[in-house]
Amino acid sequence: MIIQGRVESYRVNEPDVIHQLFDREVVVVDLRNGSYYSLSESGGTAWLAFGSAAASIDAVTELLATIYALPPDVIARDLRRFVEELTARDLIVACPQGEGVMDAATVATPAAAYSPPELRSYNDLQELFLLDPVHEVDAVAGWPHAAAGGPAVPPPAEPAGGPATTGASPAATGGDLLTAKLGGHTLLVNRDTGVYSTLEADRGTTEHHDLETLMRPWIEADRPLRRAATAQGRQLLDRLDQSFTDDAATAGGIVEQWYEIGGEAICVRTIPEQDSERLRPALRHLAIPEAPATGAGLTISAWNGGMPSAPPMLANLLQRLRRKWCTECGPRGEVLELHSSEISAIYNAGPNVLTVLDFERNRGWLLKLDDVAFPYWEVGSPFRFLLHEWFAPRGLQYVHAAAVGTARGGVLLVGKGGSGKSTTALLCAAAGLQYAGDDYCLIDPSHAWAHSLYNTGKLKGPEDYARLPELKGLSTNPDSFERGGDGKGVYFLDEIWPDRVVAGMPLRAIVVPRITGQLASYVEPCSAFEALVAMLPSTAAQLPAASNDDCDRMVALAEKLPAYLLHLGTDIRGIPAVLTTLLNG
Amino acid sequence: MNTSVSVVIPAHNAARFIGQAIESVFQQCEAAAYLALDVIVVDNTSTDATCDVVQRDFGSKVRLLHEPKPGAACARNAGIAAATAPLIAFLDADDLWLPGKLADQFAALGAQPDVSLVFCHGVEFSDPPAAFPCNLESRPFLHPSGLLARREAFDIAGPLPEFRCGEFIAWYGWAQTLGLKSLVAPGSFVRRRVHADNTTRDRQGLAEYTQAMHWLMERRRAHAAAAAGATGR
Repeated sequence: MIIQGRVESYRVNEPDVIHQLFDREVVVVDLRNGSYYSLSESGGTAWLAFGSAAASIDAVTELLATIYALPPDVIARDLRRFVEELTARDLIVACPQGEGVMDAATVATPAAAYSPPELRSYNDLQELFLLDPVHEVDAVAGWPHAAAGGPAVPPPAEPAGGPATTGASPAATGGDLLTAKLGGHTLLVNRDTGVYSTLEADRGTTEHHDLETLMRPWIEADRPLRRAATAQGRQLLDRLDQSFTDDAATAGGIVEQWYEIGGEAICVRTIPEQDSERLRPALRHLAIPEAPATGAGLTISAWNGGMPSAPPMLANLLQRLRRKWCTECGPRGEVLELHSSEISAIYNAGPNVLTVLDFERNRGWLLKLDDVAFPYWEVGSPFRFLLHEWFAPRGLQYVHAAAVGTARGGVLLVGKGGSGKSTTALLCAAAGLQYAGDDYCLIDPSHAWAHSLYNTGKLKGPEDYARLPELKGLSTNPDSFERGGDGKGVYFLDEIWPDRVVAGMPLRAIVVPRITGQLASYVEPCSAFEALVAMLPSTAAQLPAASNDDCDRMVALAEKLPAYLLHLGTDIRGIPAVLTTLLNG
Repeated sequence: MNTSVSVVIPAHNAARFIGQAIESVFQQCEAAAYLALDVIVVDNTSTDATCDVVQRDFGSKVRLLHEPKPGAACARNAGIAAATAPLIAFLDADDLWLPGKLADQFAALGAQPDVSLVFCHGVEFSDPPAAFPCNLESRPFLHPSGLLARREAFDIAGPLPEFRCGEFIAWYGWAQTLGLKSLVAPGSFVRRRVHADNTTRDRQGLAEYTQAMHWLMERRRAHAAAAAGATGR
């Protein structure tokens, strides 16, 4: 526990502050403001001792006293002054009890006699730093953010429309840690730091940093706690629904289309002639002709608009989101004013989309606050957040995975973007296999079943034609590279390969693709834990509401199915046959 | 007066952007026919159609070099080494210039012989539109795409240090130390494309910021020591 004024342990303020040891000099760069620092030899030793694992002032004092053979009280006084300067600059931060300190024996003998730890500060190049990595963007999650180098979004101004009444308040929650245990091993996903770690009985701990850009640890907002919805929150939902009805009345009505998704009847309402109608085709293979007698499980209203016609209180919220989402939202876009135990609301500032789910009344809304075309990832995989959160309590898990198979069943292809799962899935579809998705599926762990969500496939650019010439020229999204845009091409496979797109399939195995430089492709068994590590972090990183319940469902699936590594060779034509053989075996 | 400018365009897997970028360079001559351009595209380990696009659409109008060492700094240095003109400008393959960029900066350098480096202002744009938040306000563009430099600047300060991050920042800091003068012209002439493939700064990349700053500090210390020695202190 940290008690104000008695904090004794500190750690380097990573990832905003980076450092490196050069010979005997530690160089520190603060990525937030472009200041850079050179530390004196004793200062550098102290810095490295605090490190990322944290250490107490007492432990570091002792270390320096040992190294320089001086009484600790001399060192302690100098070190406190140094620590004060570092904390004033926010280069190190107070934290709970540190994990220890370096062994004095591992520190090189100092080159010079002791002098107090010292920091030289330079800020002559700040302006260039702040301009350097201007943005880092994540098209898949659609959540844009300032790079560590500086603010991409202007600092927030005072509220434009009076003070907001929040339904949820930001609160420190002791870290945003997801935990999954399987077969004696543990997988930890820390979305606050963007790092996931595996703790394996036989291999020890391994840290993985490859999903940092997806998890965006540099967004500093506190994670909001879910509280009971306020009356005002509920009123906002009614106004949101009213806004859809009003906009539809002005534009000439509502189009209702029914789908059976994951065994549930889902009604999607759009407004004719709007760009939001382009969200429907990805679900077309799951369409049912009319409303079932049982009515809708979930009704989703999707439209472009909401401004400036929205009812007063709602218009104010939407305006605030557009102007300064960074203060209105939690770290994953949770809209603080609505976020509660009965309502989930996520605002995505990049595509300017507000997604709201009313758990109590099974209503969802997807509102794009402008008339700009939906980007390819929304068209290819619409309603991601709504489907994840609505199906979770029903035991179905939204996963970042592809699913393909034969009449005997299918394989779930798991792995982060770029691992080869999408290409493998599309190659299999091209070869005549059944196809239930290339990027996302809805999994029923208790029945080892994959429900299809989207009939779409995506190509990155003309370089993909060599593998999938059948798709050339068939994307219609305006931001497709085939249409002069800079996005992926989205292909509706229910039209291209109508005989292969299926609503779901029983799963026989989890397959983790790996790209190799070898010619031939082959599979080899791997552990269920390996499959979990390929599936869970990249899924959790993309779902703002991911929780330990999601982890439990993914563990349940991994426990149920055999797992394989699929080594993808350069002779890509062989890949479908390898999977067919696996399924027939 | 020599009116030729070497324009160095480093390109890594930029097939989708490079055509537009090169066109925005040749557009510079429309209102300033006196400019003689030496356009150098430096392919930096591209595995896409970048080189094909350049050869197909621009042929002999540009020089196409290949730099096998990865990194924008290596590509820019290869371009600097090949440049023939007394003035050198850079344009990242995914950025665009607006008409008048070179003419404006050419005039600024002409009017101020003591200035070696002139920057301009720039804005960002999202590709695809509205997908990514952008800074739409014009601001000083202290980045290679906004620079027109006298060739002597590189003769004096040397090539860019070949780091993946912070290489231009460190070089600029070194140039300042050596007393090279720079200014930022008020005109806004660069459009920086914000897109899904903007160089991501992974952990390793970020680490090179510290290497770049260390490079700079070492040079500055050696420079200060040499200066102190020269004055007998």
